[in-house]
Amino acid sequence: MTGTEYSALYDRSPDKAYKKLFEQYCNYVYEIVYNKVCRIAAAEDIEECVSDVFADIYFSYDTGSGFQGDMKGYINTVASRKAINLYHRLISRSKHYTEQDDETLGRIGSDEDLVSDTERAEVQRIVMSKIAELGEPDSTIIIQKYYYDRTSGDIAELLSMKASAVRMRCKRAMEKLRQLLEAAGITL
Amino acid sequence: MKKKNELDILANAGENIVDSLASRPVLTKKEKERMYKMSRNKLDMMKENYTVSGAAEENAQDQVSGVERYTRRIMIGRVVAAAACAVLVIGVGTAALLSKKTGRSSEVINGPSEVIQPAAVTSVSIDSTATVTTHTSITTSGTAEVSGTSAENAATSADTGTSAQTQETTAASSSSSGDTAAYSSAAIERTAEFTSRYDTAHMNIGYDLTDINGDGVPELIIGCENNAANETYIFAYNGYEYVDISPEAWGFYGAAQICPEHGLIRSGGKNMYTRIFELDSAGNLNTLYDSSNGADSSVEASYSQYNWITPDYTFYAAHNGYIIDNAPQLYTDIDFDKLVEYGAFPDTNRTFCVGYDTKNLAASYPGADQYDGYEGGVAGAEYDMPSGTVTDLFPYFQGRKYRMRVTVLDRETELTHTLLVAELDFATGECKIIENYYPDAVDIHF
Repeated sequence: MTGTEYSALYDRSPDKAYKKLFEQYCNYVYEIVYNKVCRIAAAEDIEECVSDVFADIYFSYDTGSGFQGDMKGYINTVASRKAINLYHRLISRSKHYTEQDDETLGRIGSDEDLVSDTERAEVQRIVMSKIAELGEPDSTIIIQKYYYDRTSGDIAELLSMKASAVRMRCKRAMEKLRQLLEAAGITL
Repeated sequence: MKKKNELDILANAGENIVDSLASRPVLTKKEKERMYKMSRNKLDMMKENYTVSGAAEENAQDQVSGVERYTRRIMIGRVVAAAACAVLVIGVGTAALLSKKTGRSSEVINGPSEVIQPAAVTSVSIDSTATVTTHTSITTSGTAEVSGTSAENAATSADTGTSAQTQETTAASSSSSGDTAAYSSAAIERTAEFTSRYDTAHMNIGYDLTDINGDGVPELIIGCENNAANETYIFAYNGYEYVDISPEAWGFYGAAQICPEHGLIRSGGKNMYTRIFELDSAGNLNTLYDSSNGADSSVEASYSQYNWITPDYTFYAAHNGYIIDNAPQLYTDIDFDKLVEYGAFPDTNRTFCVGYDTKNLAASYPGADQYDGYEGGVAGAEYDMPSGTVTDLFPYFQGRKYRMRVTVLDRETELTHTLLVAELDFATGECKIIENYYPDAVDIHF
């Protein structure tokens, strides 16, 4: 959605503009937030943060600015900043660090250790490509199960499948993914 | 507690990965609706705050023109206050001198100045607008008396004129600090008693003093956890101790949040019913919403816009000097595949829930042996179709010594399997395994 489209829709009906923007970008915003804080945040914290992002955009975006480009960049910036704020808030609330937190903290906003970052990005790219090789719905099941940490019941609801079918496909797909990754020299 | 996922490698990824992940189905319809509703509520609140802060800003701008006048008033007040001090000091001094000389001190004390207290004189030095106003009147009455009568009467009249107000303030001040100490003491006493009753059934017992119903007397909130859920208890001060006013014998089922602005308490949590209560100024607890009765969820939604806060708990163990922060992390390694080999479960194609049952080593109260002494604890994580070894992180600690039984609940059959029993000291980090039923499959360590 471009700034022009959003502004035009907002002029006709702010409610419709809000809804349309949310429908189009909720997955994107959720993923940005989840990707940054998944190791430490509870599901409720993430949902809270996503709603903060949209409330902030609804409130702050100047529809009279005449911006014509894609709103994705603007949304990405707001979501990333909110997610990083949430991360720091959760860390300060817990008052103690674990090794995992240190690891994540090091990566958030890190502009050092570029070699390590590049290697990590390469591993991520390979993992994503191997997941894609599984085909649908297996790749979505695997991501939902082992990345978003959803239960089989939740995944079944999302994909309109039976929970038992999700379990069966998940187990087989994970075995296949392990084999594919091992062939590429990556162990999960 | 967050368990480690196989695809955690994808965390903190670049834009392409994020785009790829976001292009797949991520959220269910219910989740989307919930988040959209939250964002709209937040937008409304932001607009409301913007309007309020805008009005406040306008008021603030109006007040700028009055700053000078305000300053002058303080300056005049200070001069008047200083004059009042001088008159008082001179008056009291002269009165004392005259009394000494004439031996009439008893007459002065028995007059209308009986209410003279050191505190009244002391308060003259307080530098605040309110006090300045008070002392302006002292000066007026004092001066009048000085001109009409003797110096000692002037001092007497000056103090008499303000004695009621000053005494009231002084009394209120000392009473307030005294009451705070009384509330605090009573709260600790009740929490200690609560802990002694429930120490084996609950962990992480924390207390907080907050005035929920705005009557000026803080309520005592005790939060705790057992192996199934959070629980919260509310106590009201009856003048000398805190008494339980929780709606159920077991308190509020679930973690509670409070809204002192409206005198409300909300309890609930994941897989629990939501309940909202009003604590009125008379100390009565009225149910406003109860989802277990099939109440209209829009009622709950209307309350969700309120400013709900989580009580700021102080752990009772911390109060007693036990280590709370930086305590060692307890790990439980469970190899589910080997548990299948042991015959504990037919397969791992199901959901498992790790549980930590606790037993107070010093348990000697009646009924301590019920359920083998294991009466409570906390729930660990749930694992859906685990494969290989998972490391479960013990989610909570209270800085105390426990005998702990680690179990796994098979959600398919609802059967609980005891994995091991260990003695754990969260203060020193000592871990002694008493009995391990699956030695090759399970381990526990700090």
